[in-house]
Amino acid sequence: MILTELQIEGFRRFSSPVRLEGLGAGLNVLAAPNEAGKSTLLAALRAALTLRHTSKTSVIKGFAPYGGGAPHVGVKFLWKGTACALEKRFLTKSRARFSIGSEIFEGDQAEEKLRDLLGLTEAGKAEAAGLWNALLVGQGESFFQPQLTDAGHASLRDCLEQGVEDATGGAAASAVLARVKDRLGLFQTASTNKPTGRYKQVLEQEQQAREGLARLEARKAALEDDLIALDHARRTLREQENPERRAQDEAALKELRIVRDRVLLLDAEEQKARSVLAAAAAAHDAARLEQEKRQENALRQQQLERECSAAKQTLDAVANQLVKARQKFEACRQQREQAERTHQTCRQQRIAASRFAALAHLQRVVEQEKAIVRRAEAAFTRLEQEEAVLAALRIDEAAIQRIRKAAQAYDQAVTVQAANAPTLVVSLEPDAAQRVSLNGQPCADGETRLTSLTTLRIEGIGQFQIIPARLEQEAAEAQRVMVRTRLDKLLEQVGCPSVADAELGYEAHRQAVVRVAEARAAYGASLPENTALTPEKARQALGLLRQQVAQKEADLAVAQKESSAQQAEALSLTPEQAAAAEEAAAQAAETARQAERAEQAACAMVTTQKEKAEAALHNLVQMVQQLQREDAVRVARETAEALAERALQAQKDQKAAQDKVEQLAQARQDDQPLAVVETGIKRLEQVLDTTRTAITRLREDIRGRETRVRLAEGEGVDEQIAEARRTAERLRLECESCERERAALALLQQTLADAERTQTERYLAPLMRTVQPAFAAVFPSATIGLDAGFSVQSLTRRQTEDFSTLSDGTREQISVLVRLGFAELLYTRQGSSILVLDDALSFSDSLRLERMVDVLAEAATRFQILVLTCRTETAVKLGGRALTLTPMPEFTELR
Amino acid sequence: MKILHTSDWQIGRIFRFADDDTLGALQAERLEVIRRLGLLARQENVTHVLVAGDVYEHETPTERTLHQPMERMRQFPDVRWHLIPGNHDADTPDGVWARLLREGAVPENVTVHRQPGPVVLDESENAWLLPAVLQRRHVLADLTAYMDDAPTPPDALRIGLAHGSVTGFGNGEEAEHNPVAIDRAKKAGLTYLALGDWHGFCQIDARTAYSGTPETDRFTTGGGGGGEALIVTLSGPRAEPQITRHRTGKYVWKKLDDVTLTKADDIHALEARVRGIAPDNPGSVLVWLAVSGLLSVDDLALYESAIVRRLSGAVACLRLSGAPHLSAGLDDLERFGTGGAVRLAAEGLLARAQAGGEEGAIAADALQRLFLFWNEVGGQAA
Repeated sequence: MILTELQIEGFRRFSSPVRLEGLGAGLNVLAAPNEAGKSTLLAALRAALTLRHTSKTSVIKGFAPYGGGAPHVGVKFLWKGTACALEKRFLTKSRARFSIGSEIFEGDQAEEKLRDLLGLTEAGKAEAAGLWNALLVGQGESFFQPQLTDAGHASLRDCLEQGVEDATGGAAASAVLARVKDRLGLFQTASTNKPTGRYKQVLEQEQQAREGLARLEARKAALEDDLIALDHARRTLREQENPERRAQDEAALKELRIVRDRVLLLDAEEQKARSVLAAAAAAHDAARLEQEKRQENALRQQQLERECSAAKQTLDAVANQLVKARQKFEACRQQREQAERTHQTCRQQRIAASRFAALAHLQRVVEQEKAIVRRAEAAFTRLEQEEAVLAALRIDEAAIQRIRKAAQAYDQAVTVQAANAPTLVVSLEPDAAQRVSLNGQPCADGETRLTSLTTLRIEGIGQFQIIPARLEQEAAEAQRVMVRTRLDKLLEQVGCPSVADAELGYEAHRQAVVRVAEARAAYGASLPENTALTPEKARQALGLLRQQVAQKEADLAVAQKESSAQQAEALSLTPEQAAAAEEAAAQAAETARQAERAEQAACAMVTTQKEKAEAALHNLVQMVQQLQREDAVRVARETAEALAERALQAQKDQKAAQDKVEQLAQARQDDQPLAVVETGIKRLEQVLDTTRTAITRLREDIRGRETRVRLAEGEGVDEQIAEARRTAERLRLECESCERERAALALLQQTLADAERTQTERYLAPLMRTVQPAFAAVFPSATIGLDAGFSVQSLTRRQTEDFSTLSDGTREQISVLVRLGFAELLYTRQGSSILVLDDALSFSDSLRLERMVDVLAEAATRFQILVLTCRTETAVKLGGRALTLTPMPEFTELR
Repeated sequence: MKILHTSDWQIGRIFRFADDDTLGALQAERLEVIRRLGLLARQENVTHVLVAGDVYEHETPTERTLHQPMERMRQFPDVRWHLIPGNHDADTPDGVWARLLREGAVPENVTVHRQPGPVVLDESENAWLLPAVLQRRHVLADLTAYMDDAPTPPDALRIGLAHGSVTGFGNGEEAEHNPVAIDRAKKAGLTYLALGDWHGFCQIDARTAYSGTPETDRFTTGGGGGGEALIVTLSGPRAEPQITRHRTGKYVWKKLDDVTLTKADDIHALEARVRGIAPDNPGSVLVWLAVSGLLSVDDLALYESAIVRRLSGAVACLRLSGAPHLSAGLDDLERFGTGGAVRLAAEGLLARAQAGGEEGAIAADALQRLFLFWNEVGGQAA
């Protein structure tokens, strides 16, 4: 379908007829500002194609212009190469006319023919629509996905290779899936797949049942424990309450208490007898001990007296040893004094020898230093002479530099003056040289600078005076004179008549400087320090050297005078010999000292021995005297006879007490030991107490357990457990049944959904193949997901995004592309298609817009695309045919 | 002299497989049978009813359960009920019997025998009861042994009453606990030995018999199947007793093992077989079907309808073990059409079901439900 003409009148703002001009195949663009009537044009086109001329719906009435009138539209187009014309008038005097080629149809017949041609189906009472509403995209509609009517769906399905029912199972599949979802919804939530409804209830009940059963079983276990413990407690109580056993225990306790009283009495008597025995034994022991002490003292005295005698003999022997030791010590002391005197003599000789050797060395040093002084004095004299010569020369480095600079300035002044002077170029005939003179001089060929008044005379001709330009020559001359004056002054200062003389004078000065430096170096080398010196320091160094030599000569004279007294003896020994003799004498003195110290130590040792022997003897005498005093005291207190009598009496008393003790011990042997009896009594008392306590405790325990048992009995724990098990089992089975049902339904739902998706993809494949190239051009590496109703569900780039979450611009671009796909599909199916976009792509960025433009331009090579836009830049980018809206004097009826 | 011999009432028994309604009905009927026993005693002019143990199911029944049988027996003051403990309600120090006696809950016409030893039954002292008393749940000794030497007057009727398993009767491990010598009646000179513990009627010899429970409580009760009581006529100490079985139970318990279903006829036959158990009163039937087999899509729907839904409503209780599985092939998938999502899903599920295993079973269930849903919306699809 290629629109070739569109004219309207009586449509909204167009009460007068207008025509859209410039329509043709390919991309058509109408760029017009807002309120220009673009949307009205599209509405008129839609009305012509899809609304019956007899329709009086509100839509049609809404087309009527504000000033009244009947909407009237005429469309011309090519349909597969055949020219068609369609004219419709609505509301007042409504009519329809449709011509295909040479055939013309009127009224309803025209409507039917148009519907057949465009593949329209009855969408409503007054509307026939197919896919066209999706292809004629009004303002703002591009933001939304195509709202296809059943007729639109049908048209698209007609374009697809396979019927939707065949491909997807259609309504039946949806109905089955819906039922599955409904049924599954009874078991799990749709969003989280968590159990819900009865399944959730059963799960919770089963959990509660298991917990309840566990509680009951625990209670049953506790009850059984109580029953076992109760049985045990009752048996124990019966045993504890046995009266025979109690009577036996009490009789045994009484018997043991009687035994204990008897044993305690015997114990007291035995204790008393043992006390008497102990006292008698103590008295006997004391007497015997006194006798033994006296005997021991006597023996001790005899022993000490023998020791005193031996100590006296030892003391005498030590005294003799001490006398001998003191004699030896005195001899050694004398030997040591003699050796020390000899050592002193040898030391003095060694010192004299050393002094003489040092004096000889000093004499040699003085002679050497005197030679050095003489050499230094000669060098110093030469240095003074050279320095005098240098001082006489006036042209130094600075003076020659000044003269050279002044001479250079003068040369420059002369050069400048010559350069500014006029030049006389002479070229004479060979025989004319004699007849021409310049300033009286024969004039030679060549150039001559004329710096002053010049007279040229030519013999036979006359005389010419050539005057150079005065001002320039005067300035140059003044400069030259000034510079010459300065040069002359400098030469005069140094006493030279010329610059060459000055250069010679400077050369002499330079050589004198070299010689002074050499002389100074030689003088420095002659000094001991061998250092470069300033003239003043050189003089001072020479003086210092002279003083040092003089001082050493004086020292030598004094030393020679002092050593004269020892000289004779010292001359017989060398210093080394003298040192060896001193060393030998020192060793002899040391040996003598060691011998003296050894004898002194021996003497001290013997003295110590003597003192010890004296002290030992004194101690022994003291001890003998002490024993003698003790014996005297004991005898005075009790004589030996009285002591013997007391000892005998004590022995008799001890024997009597011992007999008494043995008699009582014999009597105790018939009874048990007291400790055993006491333990037995304590054990029996404890048994009786424990029994009473145990009985009390057992009765309390039995009461407690019986109470619990009664309570559990009343609750019927066993019966409750059986019932709880039944409930838990029933719930478990129901859970399993629910889970099985849920699993089956979930699997069925998933399988059905997967199958439906697969089938839908297969069904939509032709559309996807059509849409995808354009789509890929705008959204590289992206795919869209369509449902069976041709609605875009998602956009998958790096991840799948729901269509509703995309930006406005992206959604509009996708919606336009889908419509473009519809148009492509229609074109492929029917060989004719069209797409009209009113103010679309207004939210696209420049990059996307360019891509969309490319896509539309490419599609326009196959079918016509009309773009109505208020944006001039968009129109410019699109290119294509530029349409205009032209007023017409009157509506041109189609013929 | 005539006595009524019964046992194993097991009041308070819980049936795990039963739902709440069925459980209530079964428990109620176990009490109601006491009344029928009393009526039977009156009908047969029996004064003494011997209950051979296990009156109660649990050692610690609830208060209501404890008192219910006592109150039922109290309604028959002209009948003397002789009870002994069984392994379920052994006479322990804090057991159910001590509890009843402690509370004074035992009616005058009820005698609980807690000690072994001869007990005279009639004023003329011609009939003596020799009860054996279980004081623990399980004993290894034969508690009827004392009967051999129990003194009774000469020519008196000696009637034994015990709860346990006779030994040497091919009952395996049961005999290890609470054993009763198979020839006790002969050894002890008993006119009749009334036994309890086995839930189906079983006569050991001319003088020894198990009465069985008066109301059946298992699908697998041996012997006579339960639901009976015995009227025993004792003509003399040496005369053989005359034993008459009387139906007392209401419910019929039936288990059908190895029910294999492969086609619709099998399903119809199964339904007819179950309905034929008690044609006049299917509401008294408890049936347990162990079902297996492979059914087509339609037959599986028939099974769900005829057995799972209809038959379940007809009988008192329908217990199912196992289920027939869906046997579907590609031919069955034709009903989904040749294409479309449902067909594709069905093919996927069928493949997974045929792979077997746990996932295969789930896939088979899913496929089965797909058929059901398809049938529900099939009209639309068609």
